[in-house]
Amino acid sequence: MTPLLTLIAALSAVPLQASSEGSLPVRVTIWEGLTDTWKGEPLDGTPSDWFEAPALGFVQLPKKVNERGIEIDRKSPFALKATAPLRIPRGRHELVLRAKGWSRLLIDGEVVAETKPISANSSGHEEVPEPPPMTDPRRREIGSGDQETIVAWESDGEEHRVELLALLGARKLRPETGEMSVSVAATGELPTLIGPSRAWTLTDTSWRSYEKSEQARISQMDTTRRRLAASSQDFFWKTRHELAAREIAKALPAKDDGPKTIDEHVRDRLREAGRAPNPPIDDAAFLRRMSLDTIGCPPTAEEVAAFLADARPDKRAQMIDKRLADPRWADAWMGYWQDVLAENPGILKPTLNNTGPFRRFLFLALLDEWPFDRLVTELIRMDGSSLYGGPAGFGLATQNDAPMAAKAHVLAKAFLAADMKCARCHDAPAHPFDQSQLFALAGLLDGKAQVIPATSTVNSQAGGRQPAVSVSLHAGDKVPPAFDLADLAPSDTPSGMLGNAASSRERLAALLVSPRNTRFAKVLVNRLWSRFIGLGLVEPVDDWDGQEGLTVSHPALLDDLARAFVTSGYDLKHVARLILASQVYQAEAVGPPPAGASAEGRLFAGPVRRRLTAEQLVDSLFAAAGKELGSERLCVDPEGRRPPNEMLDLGEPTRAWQFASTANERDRPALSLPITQTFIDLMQTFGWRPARQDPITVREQTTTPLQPALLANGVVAGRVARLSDDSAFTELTLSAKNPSALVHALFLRTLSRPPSAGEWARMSSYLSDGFDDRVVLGAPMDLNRKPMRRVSWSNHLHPRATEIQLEEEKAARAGDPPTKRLQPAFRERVEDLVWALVNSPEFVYMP
Amino acid sequence: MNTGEINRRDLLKLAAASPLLLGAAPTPAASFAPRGTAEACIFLWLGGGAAQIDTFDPKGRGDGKKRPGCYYESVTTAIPGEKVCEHLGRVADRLDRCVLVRTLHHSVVDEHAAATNMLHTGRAVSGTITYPSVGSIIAHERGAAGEAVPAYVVIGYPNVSRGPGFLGAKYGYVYLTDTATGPSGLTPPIDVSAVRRARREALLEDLRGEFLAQHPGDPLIADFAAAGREAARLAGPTFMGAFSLDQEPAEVRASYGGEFGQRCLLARRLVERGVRFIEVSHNLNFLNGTGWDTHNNGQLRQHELIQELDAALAGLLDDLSRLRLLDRTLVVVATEFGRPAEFDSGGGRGHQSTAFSGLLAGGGLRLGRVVGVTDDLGKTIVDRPVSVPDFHATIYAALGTNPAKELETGGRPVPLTDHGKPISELFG
Repeated sequence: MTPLLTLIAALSAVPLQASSEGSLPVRVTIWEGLTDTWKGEPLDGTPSDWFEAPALGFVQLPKKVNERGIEIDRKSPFALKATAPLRIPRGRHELVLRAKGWSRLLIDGEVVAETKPISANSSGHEEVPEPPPMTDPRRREIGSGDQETIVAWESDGEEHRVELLALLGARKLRPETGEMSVSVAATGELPTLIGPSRAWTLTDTSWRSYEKSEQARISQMDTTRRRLAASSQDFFWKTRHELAAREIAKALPAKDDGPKTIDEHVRDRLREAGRAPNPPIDDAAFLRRMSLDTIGCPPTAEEVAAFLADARPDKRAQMIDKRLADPRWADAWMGYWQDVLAENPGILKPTLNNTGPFRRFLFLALLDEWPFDRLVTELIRMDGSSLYGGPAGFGLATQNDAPMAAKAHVLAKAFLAADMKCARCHDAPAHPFDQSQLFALAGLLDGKAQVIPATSTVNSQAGGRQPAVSVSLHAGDKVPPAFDLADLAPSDTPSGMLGNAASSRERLAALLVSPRNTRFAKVLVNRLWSRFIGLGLVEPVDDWDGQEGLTVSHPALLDDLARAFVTSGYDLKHVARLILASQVYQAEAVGPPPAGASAEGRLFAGPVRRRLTAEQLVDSLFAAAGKELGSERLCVDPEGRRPPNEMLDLGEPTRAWQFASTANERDRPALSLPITQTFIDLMQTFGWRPARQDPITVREQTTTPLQPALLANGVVAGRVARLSDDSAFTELTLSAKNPSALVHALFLRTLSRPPSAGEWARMSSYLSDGFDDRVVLGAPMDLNRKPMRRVSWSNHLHPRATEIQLEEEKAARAGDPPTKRLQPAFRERVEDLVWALVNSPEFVYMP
Repeated sequence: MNTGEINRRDLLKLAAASPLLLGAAPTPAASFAPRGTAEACIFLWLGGGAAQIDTFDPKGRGDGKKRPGCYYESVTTAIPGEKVCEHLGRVADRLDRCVLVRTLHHSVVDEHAAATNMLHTGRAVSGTITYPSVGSIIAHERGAAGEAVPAYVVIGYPNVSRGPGFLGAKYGYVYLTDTATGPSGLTPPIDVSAVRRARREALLEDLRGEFLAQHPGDPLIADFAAAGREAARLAGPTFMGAFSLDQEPAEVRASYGGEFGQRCLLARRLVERGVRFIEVSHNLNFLNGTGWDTHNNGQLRQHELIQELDAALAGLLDDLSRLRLLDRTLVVVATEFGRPAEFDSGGGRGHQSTAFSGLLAGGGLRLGRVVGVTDDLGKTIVDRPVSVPDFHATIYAALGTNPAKELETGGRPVPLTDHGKPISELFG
């Protein structure tokens, strides 16, 4: 390790989350590389990590990163050791220890309680555990697969040292903390987590609030550490970008008359065609459109009101800057790249060309605003964690006998718009690619020659029809690694781009992102243009060499954007800003062009009308209702008793892009995730793919009756319209001064605009019936406590598991319980209006 | 619309692009000999891998421990010389209306998801495209037979294997997980009364009308509004009426048996309304815990599953015959793989894909025969192997669809089956 890297490694272990009151009192250390049978024997040497916590309660651990800021796995099994002082009044107490696997609680070095080692289970035939009897119904049920040990303890009123030891990741299982905690209670009291504030009790609401604040705190800690480590590469990339800026000026020289703006380019073509640009959209429509494009959901009602009242002439530009700086930019782009890169994690025994969940790598790279050449390079290096979200997960392709050919296909389509899918099995008849070119790229990814598998050839049967395609390779043939794409991209890079020790993956990455390979930059900016304007300057955006050949509607504009992209240091946000600020983007939308519109036909008088993506739709619905998605954790083994290569835990989604296939190929009710399924039903109908066996860029746009049907009758939209106690619509209804104010507020929240005069009058009249008597005084709130999941892989083959999940399905269909604080008749009135607002095409289509 | 032929323009393109063309492709239509007359298909899915040796391909008795073999006695059937498991007694009496296929086989990994995918799409996953299911292909080729009904319905859990793949959402399924719920998206929530539904529609019409007026001539928005009206049609009595099983006479309902039988009855009602393909999952796992995946103690109450299948399948065949629908309705029983004659340490059975059984019934086929022979343990194929593509090709041919027809995705031709050949003796 170089001295610099040593320093970084040392720094990355520094806890940076010290609160304003000073450092947190619970000190936690991690000790890697133990054995499955470790039971508290002395830990030698130095811990591999340490951090602090507010209490002896753990919901997740900080991530470990490599010297480039890529998340890596800890060496399992590993120990967690946490110590905290405890000083409580004299008297009899009980200590409550909760943990998933082996753990031990010590006071002043004396063992007082233990939990047993975790046991793997593959059979699925266990009994469904009954929740243990609870002395106090307010206590949180113990977590799925967790154990609880309660011991009596007499306090003498003095300060004592509490120590928690726990073994994680034993038996190759997922190293999850579960809901590990140590709490203490005086007789008859609720236990509180051990820590100085004693603010957290072991109740449902308190634990959930602790969980949330810990998730946020640790995620912030992760960000700080990751960015610090990643900054060690900044100099390398800065140098590369300076080189790229010089090179692109040669490779793509600016025209003599200087670069034109987007609008000048577009207006020139429109003028030639005798057409005028579309008129601009109003402020409310602009704010909604631009917000959906940049943060994936509509503006809040407050933002709409403030923006409409803002008199500054440059308020649109100001708002664009604000949105581009918003971390939700990463969320807004996830679905797109998951499709393009065929991210396809399988939560249940993955066998259908599944990848690891490298969604996390993509998300963090977008969140940390990595230059795009850097993102692509790290993706191709496929380092770090493969099953917990690192780029190595991109390299997985379960049950695929030519995984690197599959990845080469994905990369060529994503970053060169070169569609080599046919070349997987034979020379491409309609594209200029031979099978050997694809397998040579695969060789660069694999670092060795590729052998053509039997399935990647075309068989002809005796007497059957002969293949209608050219076959130049046969099963068993060897193809050496090479980057040989003829005219498409140069097969060398400018000197200085790569160190001497570069691996073949790094060479491939450099060849792709090289400034001499102008196709990369053009493909990327065309992708961005197409995403915001609805149609590319080149079509199809991921296949430029098809039968029509390369046709560009505005070649000089494509060059200008590509040059701006490279010169800015491969910053997509820079190009995004140019597009979002253009009059093209801010104009009234045009209808969709006839299929296969020619380059001449793509004039861009305005952006093309778009339906919201499935993710935008779901996130907009829940943003409007102010509700959490409320789905299950995406995991069929919440107990954590199967290894991660068989069962992943993708967590509880907070944004729509985080869903994944429930993979219930087994068709077993006990393996269903009923609430998750309601989201998948809706999103799939709107073009999202729960499984992504192959890469695509443009999702299916067909309008089907099931789309309005699911919005009208489905569980998800039903929950959005339901005025439950966690709905923002409920609060609006309770607090509105009069029907007219309520109508105004509902329109702002759902459609991001005030009602028209006619709508306002009609809907106010509709809501005046029963308005004055709508509130039920003194009615209780329904806190909708979710029961802990007891069904897990270990017991899913027990008949009881099926019965429980069928009950869960019923509960999911029933949706959220309605509030009791509103008179039912009036509540239903508001619900029906909300339903109509979100079922209107105005909600479903981009303004 | 299609003829199954590669058109001339395509051929010219191919020839121009590939100077090394290995020879002109004869039109696949030429090899499309058997053409059946079935108009609909009910595809019964025994998820988990039904043990052929305990159902349709019985051998000598085993002891549930060391000695491999059948777990049950076997009984004679309406096909002379052929036996099936004693718990399939009612189906046995009706086997002259069926074809037993005892030599299905494939080599995908011994894993449910991959094998389920194989039995639905006929192909291993490639990573370059997502293949459509047999149901989606039939929906694509034949469309719905009736007005205001979908072409393809699944009674079971949604998954990619059952999906339309590259054919697109239009050829996907409408699904429900049990007969009591109705299909997702078309069943109005229970708390929304008819009065509220009317009020909602009126409010929506108000908002939508104003929006449409502001966007005259925008085809996407007009399409969406039209789809909304089509959805209302689907949610109307023609299709949704099928789900009112209580309209059936009590003795008909009783003849189908339990929940799986009721699903089969629902499938029949859907066929009557013009649904083209219905997949019915037999996933009543609360009967024995494991469903058909009878490892360990899942074996102990496997007979209850078999009896339920027996009642449902016999009931379906009788009812279809009674209504004169059997000749034009192909009934298929399929599963992802079979199970070995040996028992595992818990007294159940593992997986076996070297040989397993499927069943075809009705559909205008030549019935009352057994295709293929396996060895003494039902492990090795002795005669007449039937590949999964062959099985699918038989289904396509029975429904009058050319199994060699090529679909197209992004310029790439994809035949309906991967060299599948219909079982010829069932036709003509």
